[in-house]
Amino acid sequence: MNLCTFLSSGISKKLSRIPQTDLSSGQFAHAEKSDGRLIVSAVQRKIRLVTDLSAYMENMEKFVLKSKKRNSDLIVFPEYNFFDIFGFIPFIKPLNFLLKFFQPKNTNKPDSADQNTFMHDIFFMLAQDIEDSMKLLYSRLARKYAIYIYSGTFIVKRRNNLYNCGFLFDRSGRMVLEQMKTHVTPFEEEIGIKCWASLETFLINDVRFAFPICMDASYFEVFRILMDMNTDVAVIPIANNENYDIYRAARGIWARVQETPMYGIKSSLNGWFLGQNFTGKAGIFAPVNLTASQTGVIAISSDPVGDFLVTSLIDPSSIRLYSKSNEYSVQHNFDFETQNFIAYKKYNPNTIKKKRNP
Amino acid sequence: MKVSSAVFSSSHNRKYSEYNDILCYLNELTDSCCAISSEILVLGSFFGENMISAAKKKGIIFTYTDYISILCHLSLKKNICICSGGVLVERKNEKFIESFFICGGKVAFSQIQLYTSSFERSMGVSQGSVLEIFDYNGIGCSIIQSTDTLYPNTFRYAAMQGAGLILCPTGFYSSYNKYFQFSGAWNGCQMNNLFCIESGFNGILYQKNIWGESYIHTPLNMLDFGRISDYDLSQDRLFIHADLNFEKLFECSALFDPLAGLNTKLYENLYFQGEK
Repeated sequence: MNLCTFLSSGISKKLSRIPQTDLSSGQFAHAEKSDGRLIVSAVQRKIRLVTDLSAYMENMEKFVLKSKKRNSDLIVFPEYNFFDIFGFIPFIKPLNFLLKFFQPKNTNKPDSADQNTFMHDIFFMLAQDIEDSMKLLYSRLARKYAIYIYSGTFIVKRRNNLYNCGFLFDRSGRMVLEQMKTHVTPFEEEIGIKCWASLETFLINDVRFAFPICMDASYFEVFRILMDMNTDVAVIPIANNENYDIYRAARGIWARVQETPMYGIKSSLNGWFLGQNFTGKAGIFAPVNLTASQTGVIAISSDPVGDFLVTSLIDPSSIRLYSKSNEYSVQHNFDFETQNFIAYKKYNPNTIKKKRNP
Repeated sequence: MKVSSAVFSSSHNRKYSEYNDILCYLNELTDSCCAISSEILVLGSFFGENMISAAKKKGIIFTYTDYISILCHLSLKKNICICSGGVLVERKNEKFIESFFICGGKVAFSQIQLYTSSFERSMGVSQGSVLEIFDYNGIGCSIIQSTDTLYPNTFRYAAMQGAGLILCPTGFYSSYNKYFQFSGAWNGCQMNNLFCIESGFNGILYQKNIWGESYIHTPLNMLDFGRISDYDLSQDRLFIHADLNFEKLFECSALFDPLAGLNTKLYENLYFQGEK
């Protein structure tokens, strides 16, 4: 038995011990709002390595309970919302602590092929068990608290390929949507995570939600497609392994909702994990002219590290009105867009590099 | 490559309100750019329209071709390339907003604005259809003006065609908001690793308050904030300038390069959703 098989079988065993949940409680009833407005909560949370699933569930439940107390209709968890379970591995906590002080000098340097293969194999062996247990866990929380839950993302396996995927559960605990990441990071690519090639939306109380993931927010194309699908709200779970910088953050969902008017809800994972420092602020964003501060920020956590729950009321009718009636409402230019289309058809990243750096 | 972006703030507009004052401004501006050996100067959108309007008030017959002629003269005399900023041009009964790139006293290139705002449509302005890339000393350049800066596909397309430098004459009709302007050219520059010279015009034209700030943008991996130089309200300067290092620009693409990760299979329905 190699190290990879040994570790994954240990984790799998612990994943199979799903904690029991009291689903009988009727105290978390809900009433749908009739005016199309919704209250949404975005989780910013620290990675906490746990030794069993009960501890993980307890940590997540605290956020759900808090959001329910704020009358939220939807709570959104971050990308890679499962790193905590690697605490199942013996001695990982002290190792994780030590790795803080032995980071590679150049974090942009690709890891070795061996390391990447190891990561791929671990995820490949664990993907199904992680997916099964997490689905069950978030389904139970959604049902117990009668709230829509976006689970954040996990690594899943489909037809022998790995994807980064998030799930939406309705108030009855039914899984109603799964969306995989459509643009992976170079690191994800190196460990064999593939890009998905379609986008889904889901209506909650007549408000259309979409769930692109992290790096997808660096691509206006995703949001232009979502806008054409009449999306009102884009949910973006992130886990950024770099130091927080407001300008870097502004390249993501903030910029996208300015170009293609919609609400943006960002959830974020932070903390140290295997020598990588994750940071990022959870927030709720809209076009600048629709925010009281005129900055495009409705609500944002005060620090890029730590636990926060950012909650706000959103009113999609104002976005729909703004989209149609503002001075710079998005228009089509079919001649030019046809050329864009052809450029994508001919796309070859190496050719572009040569063209730009003759 | 040394480049400059003209600053024409509201206070400049008051100071240089008459036709002759604007001529003086252009002379002073180009002299100052020459003094620092700037190769390219970008003027704000509608700067030319402002000059046409000032001439009209004096009873001088002055069209956009006269404005371009002045810029050609200045370009030749002072050995500088000038991007005119958008002017209203009428061809075959169609109105366009067009910017000209003048080099060695001649119009080397021109670009029609591709997208229109609701006010521009109410004035009967039509859309252009092509975004061209032109070569300046081995660097791919493009003009993305005003309303077009709010459309991220313009920057993406230019970068995919090999552009490294974007000239952005701007002037917005909506109420002033610097974050709004940032969501345009700054953002386009970040998402495609481009240099961008943005020049804003401030003044009242067509009974509309037009505004825009001047910046020279760079990708964040080259410099904090992604700005080499920006307009400073506290100084009554005529222009801002920067020395652009294109070798470094291409190097920084190695750190963050959205162009390397396009998912073209996903974009098959982009713009044409439901049309198949």
